[in-house]
Amino acid sequence: MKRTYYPNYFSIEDIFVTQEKIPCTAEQKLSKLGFLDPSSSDSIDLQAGQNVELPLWYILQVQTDKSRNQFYKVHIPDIYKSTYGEICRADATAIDLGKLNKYFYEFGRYVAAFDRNGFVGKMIYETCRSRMKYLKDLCNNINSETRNDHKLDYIELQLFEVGSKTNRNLYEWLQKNTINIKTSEMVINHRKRRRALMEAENAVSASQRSQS
Amino acid sequence: MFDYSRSCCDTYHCGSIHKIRELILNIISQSEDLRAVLEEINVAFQENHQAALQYQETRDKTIFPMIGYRHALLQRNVRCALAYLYNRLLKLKEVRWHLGPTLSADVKEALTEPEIQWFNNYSKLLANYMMSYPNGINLTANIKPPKSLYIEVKCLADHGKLELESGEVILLQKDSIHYLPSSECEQLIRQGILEHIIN
Repeated sequence: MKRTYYPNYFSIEDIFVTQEKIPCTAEQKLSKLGFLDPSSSDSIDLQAGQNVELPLWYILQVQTDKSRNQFYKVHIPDIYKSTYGEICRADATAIDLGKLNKYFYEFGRYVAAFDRNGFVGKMIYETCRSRMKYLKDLCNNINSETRNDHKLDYIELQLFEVGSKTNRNLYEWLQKNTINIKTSEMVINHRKRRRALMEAENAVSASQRSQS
Repeated sequence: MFDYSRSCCDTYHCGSIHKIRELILNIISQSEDLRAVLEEINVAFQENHQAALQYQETRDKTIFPMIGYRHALLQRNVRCALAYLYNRLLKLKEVRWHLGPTLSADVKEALTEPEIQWFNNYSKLLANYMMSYPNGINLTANIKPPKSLYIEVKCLADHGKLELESGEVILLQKDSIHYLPSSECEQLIRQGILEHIIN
């Protein structure tokens, strides 16, 4: 399997996705890798048939070519199994994707490569398709500032932010509002940080004074 | 012997990744953490090198999985470290566009020497490009389309004197209100010294 970095090698989001753990079974005795299973920390080797949860970045690296890797058998995580598939088919908008996995689609794309039945790929595609309209409706509701209760995954959240911003801009343009030049967000954040730093320093010096 | 269990399981690695994100969001140099990652890379490389030599002697295939793991760990660490540095540069680029070509002291303090050099080079490139047009174009101005030539602004801090292009000198005192050409005060608004008043 080809290792892919999406959208690029330096992407922080992709680093987060590949940090997700995926259940595996050791196919043979793996010497000195016993520490990979935190529940049986006393054994030095990983025994054949032992179940471990391994980070995706490791599995992707081991799986270097098209042939199945000889060390581990990779299982599909529960959230991509048929029970959730059923729920998705019934009403995809009812699930809290963010709670299942913060990177539901991205992680699914990686998991799909290990799925021989082609179920996972189809499932994430269908889920995305049926949630799109719901997401579009959310974006049209420009007054809503709260977004925690929308049950979105990371990509959907990004789409939601772009979508609602565009809608707000259109609304403002239609209202012929004057354009307001604002302090750059960077400056505001920078200031807050500086203030927090100063307060922390003050607290330290105050406690020092009280001690002396 | 280097403790791999620490780096594999959540305790160390996950933690360091979350920290990386935090670091990128705030430009604060945490060279200590970076050094720890580099150290981990070095140790893993050395041990893999030893293991490879050992394999040449003994032809013992049972050390393969461990070599594979260390190799993956190494590449992962390299990626995390590079992503961290690269994203800092992106942030720095944003600083150039939002805050202008001079770095404030506390930002400068958080940067490493090569980063400051990079910033200066980037600044120079951008300036050269903008000057390559007749009369020069300031691309960092007018990020939003201007609606009027003059705007009303309120001063949020004592900034001292400001000389306009017309030659007029205004004193920017805290809480004073001025009516100024928008092109000349946009930069100051974005730096948080002036506030654009809309009725």
